[in-house]
Amino acid sequence: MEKTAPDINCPLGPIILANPVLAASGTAGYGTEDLPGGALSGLGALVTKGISMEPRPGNPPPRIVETPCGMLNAIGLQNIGVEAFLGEHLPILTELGVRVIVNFFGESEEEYVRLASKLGGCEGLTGLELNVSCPNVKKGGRAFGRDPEVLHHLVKKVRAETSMPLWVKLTPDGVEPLEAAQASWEAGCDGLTVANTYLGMAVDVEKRRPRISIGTGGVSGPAIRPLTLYRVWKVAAVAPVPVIACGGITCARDALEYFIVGARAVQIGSGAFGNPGLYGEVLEGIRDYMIRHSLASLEQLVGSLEEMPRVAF
Amino acid sequence: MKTSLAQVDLLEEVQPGTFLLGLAAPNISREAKPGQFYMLKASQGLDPFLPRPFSWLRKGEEGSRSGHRVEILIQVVGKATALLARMRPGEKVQVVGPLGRGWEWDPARFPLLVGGGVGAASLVSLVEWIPPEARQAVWVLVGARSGRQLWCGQEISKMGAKVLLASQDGLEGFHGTVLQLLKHEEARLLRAETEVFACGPREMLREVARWSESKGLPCQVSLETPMACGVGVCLGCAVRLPGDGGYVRACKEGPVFRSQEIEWD
Repeated sequence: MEKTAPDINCPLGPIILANPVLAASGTAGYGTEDLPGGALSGLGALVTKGISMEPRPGNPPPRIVETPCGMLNAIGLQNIGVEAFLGEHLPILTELGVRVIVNFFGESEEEYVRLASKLGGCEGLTGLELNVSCPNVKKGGRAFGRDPEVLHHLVKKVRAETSMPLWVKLTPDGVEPLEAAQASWEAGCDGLTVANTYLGMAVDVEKRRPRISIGTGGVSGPAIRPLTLYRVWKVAAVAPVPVIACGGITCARDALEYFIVGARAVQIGSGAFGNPGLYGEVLEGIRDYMIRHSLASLEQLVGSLEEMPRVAF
Repeated sequence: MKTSLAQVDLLEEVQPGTFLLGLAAPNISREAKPGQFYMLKASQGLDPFLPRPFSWLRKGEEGSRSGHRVEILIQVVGKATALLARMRPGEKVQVVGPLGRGWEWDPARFPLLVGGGVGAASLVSLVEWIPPEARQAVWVLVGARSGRQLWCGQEISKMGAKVLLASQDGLEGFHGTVLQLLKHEEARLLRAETEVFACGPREMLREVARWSESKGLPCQVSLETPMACGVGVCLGCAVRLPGDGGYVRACKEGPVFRSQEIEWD
């Protein structure tokens, strides 16, 4: 008997995406580059490169270095600024029919609020993702996302500015995952992206210098996947909003781990650099798994971990 | 842009630690221009994690139709290159490309090509692009640490260009660096319409760019930078522009630049 195709529609609070596979911020540009094999066409949504009010030049090179089963990057939030994104790239994305989540950041709460106001009024956007790994200039450069109180205040201000679906992309560094998550959902966000890169470093032993220009950077790739899987499991067990997992996915099995511990969607990042067909492979693998396990919809897959231990606050 | 699993149809150690890799896949080389590059990944494993950029050196021949195969020079420097060098004919390599902006050749000018180490691979494709009858007017200077590492220069000399070799160990050609050779021979190399094409380590490129500027000659350079995606999205391969001009991407706006387009210091 022929089995019916599983339902891979992906409801995420106020949003319904056609499928749960997304491209992570900073790994698919603005979605308008000529990518191998039209990679973005089958995506649930594209999360854009982090966008700020004004264009930013980014860090001096070298900005990237490969690390064991992953990479270290310090791009420095280089971006073309919100005006150029809206004017030059969004119309192309709209025409291509790509669902777009705009990742955005500021150096101050005011900049975040101004951006939220500007982006919140734009047609053609599916949602916003708040990048809280940006240094807070007024607080000595400590990232907004590292302090639950600062984070709560920021999310609340941004929330008040726009009714557009709003996700917070949590930093895994220097903060208890549940505290940051709770601070965000209590301030009214519609989803949590767990997580970002992990602060790290690599040294050239011959020159005795860091291998990237500014000394430290963010580690991504399969090396960090177990760390993020733990955070997704911990947050998804109690969060009243959807969790979108982001960290080290290189195959469908990796994505399935995230769904099973409670993620409702996944973002694919640096894994696509070594495998441009990864988005499609992951989606196909999820479908195959659902057929094999007789799962009719994603709802039956999400949080299906056996004997899930209770998570204490 | 194409992404393919390409079949290895040639793997030969052409000089100590450097391998000529032939790859066959539908249409991977038809549109390839000299100076463009490919991202290659030998394994489906996670370490190495990222693909690596390589410029191509020849296309066609080896029994395959042109447009279906490309040759790449691999110098073993780490795990990713060691894996590529251990491939066997029939095995598959993941290939994305051709990528980036390549050399621009103006038939009205006299090319002077300067290559250091395996960087000279990209000059082979440039010489092949120049019609055979015009190659007698092409000067090519190739240098390497050892006289045993001048395979590219020897290949180019078979193609009809005028080749001068330099080795720092003095085993072959001029005893010294390719830059010293360039300055030593400049009287007979230079014409008013010369255009310089350089490929090799950054320090060498900077000196060639300065030398060209001092002679009032246009100069194109092909930069080697670390890359993650190769297709313009990760912004990892930033190249600084002069003044406060910010950065461009080696994988998109390059890897070939006019020497005055970028900041050297």
